[in-house]
Amino acid sequence: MNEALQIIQNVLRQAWVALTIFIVSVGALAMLAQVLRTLGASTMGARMWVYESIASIAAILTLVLVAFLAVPPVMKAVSASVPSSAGCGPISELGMLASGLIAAIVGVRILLSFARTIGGAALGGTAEISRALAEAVEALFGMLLAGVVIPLVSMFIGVCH
Amino acid sequence: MFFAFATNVFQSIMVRTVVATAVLFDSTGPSGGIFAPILDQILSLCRDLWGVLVGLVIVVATLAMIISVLRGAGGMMIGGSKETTVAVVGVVGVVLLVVIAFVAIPQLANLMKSLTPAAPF
Repeated sequence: MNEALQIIQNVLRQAWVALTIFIVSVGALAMLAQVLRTLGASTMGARMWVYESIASIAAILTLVLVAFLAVPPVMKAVSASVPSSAGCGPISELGMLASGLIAAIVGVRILLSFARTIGGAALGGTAEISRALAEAVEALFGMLLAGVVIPLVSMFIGVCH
Repeated sequence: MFFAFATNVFQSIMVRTVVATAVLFDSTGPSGGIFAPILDQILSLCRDLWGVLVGLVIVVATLAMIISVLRGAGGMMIGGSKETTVAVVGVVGVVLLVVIAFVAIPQLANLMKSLTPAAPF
């Protein structure tokens, strides 16, 4: 079970690295695309587009900084609260596998939501910080819930005496 | 004379941008492991897109300046000082935006690259 956990965690770590490289590249492209949109809008006299584009540039920068500076410490803090063992009995190995994977899957999911928002801005859309942050909070809440549920389920199944 | 000067400025900024692009989208550094082939394809696409966007920014900026100058000239012809002022401000705004696009964005991207965190799990 430990080897399986290590293999899956390695894959998810590589996914994390790939997503960070993707976010940096697409973030730079997105900012340039929004500058192009601002230029076009100011030429046409479309003031709302100018405001939207400038707000999108600020949003992209904010999203990248939150993804790189805020998410890792929050992930470390929240993953420490997930119990590493589901209790006792034969289900404890499954519990260890689950708790090891939960943090990794949630981390990659959060980064993916940020990457998706920044990618949308790179295609000329607006960068909605609220949607990306709502997905991140939803993923973290799910992780906390799973951390509470695992020991309760093992007690309910009755393998702990 | 103004357009020749502006074109020279844009060209020198573009050279700097190309150098910044090489640093920004280089394939050295931490690779994505099993995702490396896909990442290489995406990075090569990003390099091409960056070149396209830089070209588009130059074209649109040049057009925007021509339109602003035309507006200003029209305003001067009819004696409208407000139109002329707005046109001058427009040209300055376009130049500022281009400088931000070609100088600030690569620097910001290098900053983001330096802040890349390791996996927290």
